[in-house]
Amino acid sequence: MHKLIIKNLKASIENKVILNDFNIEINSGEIHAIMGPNGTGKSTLSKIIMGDPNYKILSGEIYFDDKLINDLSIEKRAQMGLFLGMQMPPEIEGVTNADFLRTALHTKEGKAFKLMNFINELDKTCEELSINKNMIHRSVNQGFSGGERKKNEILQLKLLKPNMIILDEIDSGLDVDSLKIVGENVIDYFKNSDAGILLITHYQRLLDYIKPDYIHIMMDGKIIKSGDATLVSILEEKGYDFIKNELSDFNDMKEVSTNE
Amino acid sequence: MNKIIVEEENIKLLDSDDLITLTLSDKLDIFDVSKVKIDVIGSTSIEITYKNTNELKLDISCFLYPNVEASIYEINESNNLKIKYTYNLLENSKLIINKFYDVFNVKELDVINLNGKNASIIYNNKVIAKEAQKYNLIIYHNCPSSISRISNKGITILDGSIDFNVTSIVENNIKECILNQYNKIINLNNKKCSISPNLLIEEQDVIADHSALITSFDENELFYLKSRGIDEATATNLLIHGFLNEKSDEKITNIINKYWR
Repeated sequence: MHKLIIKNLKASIENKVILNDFNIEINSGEIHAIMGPNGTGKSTLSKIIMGDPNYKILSGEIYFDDKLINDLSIEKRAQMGLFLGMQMPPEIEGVTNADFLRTALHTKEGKAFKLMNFINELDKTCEELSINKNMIHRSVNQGFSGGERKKNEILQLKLLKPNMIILDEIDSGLDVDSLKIVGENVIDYFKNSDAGILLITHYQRLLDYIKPDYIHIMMDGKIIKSGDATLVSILEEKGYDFIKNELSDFNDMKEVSTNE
Repeated sequence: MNKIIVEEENIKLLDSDDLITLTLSDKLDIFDVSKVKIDVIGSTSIEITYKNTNELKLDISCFLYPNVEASIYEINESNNLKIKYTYNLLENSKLIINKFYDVFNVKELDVINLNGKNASIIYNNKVIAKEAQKYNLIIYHNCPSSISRISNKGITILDGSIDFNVTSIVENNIKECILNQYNKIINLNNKKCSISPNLLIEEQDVIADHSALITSFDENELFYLKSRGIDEATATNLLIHGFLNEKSDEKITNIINKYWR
């Protein structure tokens, strides 16, 4: 059983507060989706959970499996089982996917690492993701299409076997067929593991394949509304402004009631 | 493969396939420079290995006959080096150069003369700089449809600094040439480095591009590697091998491993 808890998190970059009073709890076997307009702090959240040193935690706590990880290094978080599938994974010149994955798995498994097992699993996973095996011998993400980059993220996920998965706009840049492959592979891994998932997305189309248990609407650096999958339909129909206005009306009513 | 060994002023040709000739001239008295001429008369490969503890001054000229395709693979582990290369390429000849320098102090001038139609050169230079190193490259596109693809990559460590000064020249009426320059320095010691990518082109009908970058390791790349559980030292090692040794050449791996394990 794995658990990610974020309590009252306030974080900034270059003195600009991006997250403010952010709270969430994700357990194994749960899928949470965070939706929200551009620039509201969704990708920032994913990077802060992963320990990006460019962001500063001003207050609040991040716990993973009951351990406070606020000051833990990026690699230690990953070694504990956190995984971030990035929106724009970088290109790394000269480092082949094979070397990268082998190094990552070797670090994770230590002496238990077996090269033949790695090669066999790599072949199998490439087939499952409809990845051309030549891609394994190319530099990481260099010259990859948007779809290839996202599939490469899922390839890493399936090989590294994390237990808390953050997927930041993993659906962007994917055509219909690739979206289906990515969605099915994520859900296949989820069902056969003890993992929890935090999805960050703009669109319902990914949620057709990865059905969330909880939907959270994020604005101005915090979750302003949570609900089940029906919340997505409301969003698709009425947009974020509707939710914001609804919340504003509710707060006004609360204020009037308190004054009375 | 033809092997040229340069060791403490002795220059030898081994395993010759008779497609190259090596001519050694007497030293010029004043400057103490050894002169070497390599004629490449047929398509072949050449490996040049330098092992010198004393200062080495060399003037090497390499002459490619028409329609010859050749490759030069060069590993240099000298202490101090002053060297001039002149490459002359005739019609339809093609030369691929892969050089790796693990040298303290370097002053190098490379003059590339593309003297025949369709002559082309691919020049890959990789260096680990532990002291001051200066590289001057001049590429003359003297004939139409000639191609130059120049790549200089370096990493500075200890007291190392690097200057890459690369000049590609196309005069008027030399049409349909392709010029490409890629120069990058990973500056790990914050010593002053410079890149001067010069494209001196008079002709309109030319395709030319260049990139020049002096940087340390990209934060995003390090974050990405670490986010997969790879520690800082291993991530750095991976990036250095990727930058200097993308084809995982065993000799280069061994040299890099002296500094980054």
